[in-house]
Amino acid sequence: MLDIRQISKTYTSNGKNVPVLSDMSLRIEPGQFVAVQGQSGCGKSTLLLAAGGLLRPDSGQVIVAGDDPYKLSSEARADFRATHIGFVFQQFHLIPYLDVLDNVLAPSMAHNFPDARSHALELIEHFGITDRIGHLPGELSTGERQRTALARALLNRPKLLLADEPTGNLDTDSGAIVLDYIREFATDGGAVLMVTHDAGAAGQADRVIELAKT
Amino acid sequence: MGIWRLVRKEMGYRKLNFVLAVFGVLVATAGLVAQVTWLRAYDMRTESFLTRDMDQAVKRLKAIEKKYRQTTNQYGFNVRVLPERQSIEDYYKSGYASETMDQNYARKLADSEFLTTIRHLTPILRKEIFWSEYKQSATLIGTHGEVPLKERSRRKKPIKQSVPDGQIEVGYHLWSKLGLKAEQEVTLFGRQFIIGKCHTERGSQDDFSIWMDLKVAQELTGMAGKINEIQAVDCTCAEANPTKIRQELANILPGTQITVKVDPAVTRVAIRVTAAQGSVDDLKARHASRVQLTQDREILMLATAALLIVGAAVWIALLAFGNVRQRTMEIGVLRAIGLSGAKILLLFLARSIIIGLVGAVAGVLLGGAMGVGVAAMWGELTEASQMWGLFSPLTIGLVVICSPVLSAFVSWPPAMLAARQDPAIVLARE
Repeated sequence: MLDIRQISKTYTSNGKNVPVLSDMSLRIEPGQFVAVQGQSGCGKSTLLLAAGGLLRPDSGQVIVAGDDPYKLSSEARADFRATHIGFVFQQFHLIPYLDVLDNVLAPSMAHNFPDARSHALELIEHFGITDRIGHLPGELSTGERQRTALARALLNRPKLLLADEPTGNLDTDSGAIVLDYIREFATDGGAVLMVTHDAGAAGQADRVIELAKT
Repeated sequence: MGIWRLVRKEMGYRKLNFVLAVFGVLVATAGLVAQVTWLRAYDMRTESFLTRDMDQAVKRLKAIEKKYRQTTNQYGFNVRVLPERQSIEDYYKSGYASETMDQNYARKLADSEFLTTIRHLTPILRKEIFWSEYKQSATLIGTHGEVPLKERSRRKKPIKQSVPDGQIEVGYHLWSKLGLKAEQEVTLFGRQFIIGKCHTERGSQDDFSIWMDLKVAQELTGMAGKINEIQAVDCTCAEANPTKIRQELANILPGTQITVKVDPAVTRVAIRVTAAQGSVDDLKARHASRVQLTQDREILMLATAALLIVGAAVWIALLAFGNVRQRTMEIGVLRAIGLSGAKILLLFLARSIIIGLVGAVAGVLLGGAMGVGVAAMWGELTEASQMWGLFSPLTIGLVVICSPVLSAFVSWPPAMLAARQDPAIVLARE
């Protein structure tokens, strides 16, 4: 599902080259839940962004669902993300002026999913936030926000879920619930790449990859 | 969910930014519409004043011209075109021209497009005769009435009608002395005529004259195809003076000369005509001056409107930049979940179009109300029914169409900034 082949990425800061990824390879099959751990600055987020078609690596190749998103135009790559990839962020990044339902439906602005509304309602019910459906993000608990963000990430029925510290801002119980849902997604055949500092969260994964600074 | 729903909800969420942006458009459009409305009110008011004055002046002029016509008609022809060889001294002594000219001269004169100073052209043949049947001397006048001017707009109602063939008309002293009366059959130079008309006293040589058809008179006097005088009336225009008439005739009919009789009564009326014409000209000049004043006001208005529009444009652009900066993370997330740069661009442009449209509609309503209010306060508006005439559909249409376009235009740079934002950089900040 996700095949990362020897990618490298170097940033330039104050005129100096800072390599963050060097010949990194990773393969995640459908149904696999992979966690990536490592110190700050070791390239975890860079790996996630590169896997998500948002950050072109300096070298190497990224294959998602059999296609290299970086061979597509910017517009086509955006549509590729809309149809194949789901994102979950540590800070949730819900749109503050949209209620739960509209936040979950947000990906349908990018791509026309025929059953978007009914699927959104299913996801909301599944994640136990039906009673909060008309609430704005500011009126939700952090756990509810992350569940809303997870529902948004799954609206497009992605093949690959990319999660960046999804439990980083949650209490233990809420974190456990979110991890259960992510686990469930993998069990249903999806591929998950999760970046986390939390050893407990990483322990839920099928495989844990330790990234070291280059 | 569609882009418009997102735009609408965002505007509702960030009310202050939206209201401030709409306010900018509103100030510019209201200022523009108010100025146009008031200017139209001012135009309507002054136009009605000038139209009223002009109507009165034209009526006065027409009345005086009528009086002039009546006076000149009473006085008769005052311009006489004579053969160039004719001695004016003999003409005045004998009362008629002994020299002749071709009768086609009258037609040539009437057909000239350059004839502007005289009208009512009447060719005549005048000759002193002895009416042997009544043992009475008289002046025989042959005429076929006025020759119509070629230029239709200058034609006037004839003041002299032709005398039908077989008839004659007789002057006052002649018919009263000889005991003649209308419808009576008389013999002249051995030919039978019916007296068509017995003229009233004129106090001139006409009282001893006989009028008949020109052709008959030419036959009777053995002067076929000849006339010795073309009678005319100078026109009421201020330029018609003897010098001008002489110059004009010299160009059209070389080989002729003119005499112009000046009557004090006619001169007095002519002066009044000139004065009335002058007042009409003054009003026309005032109208032209008002047009110039209106143009000056329009330029001032355009300059003010341009300032307002530039100010509003800068204001909207600044607010749009602020909006983009405020929504940096949101844009990054939207890009991450698959929205293309074009859709992000559309999102911000749609917002600016709504701002332009809402501001324009509000501005039109407010500006219209302000314009009407100011017009009413300054006395430009006297009746409620005049109010609808103050609104310029063109201006309103342009404002409603151009405001969203201009708003989108000035929001383009910030919208492009948003569309080109790299989501990786934004999300990496997390």
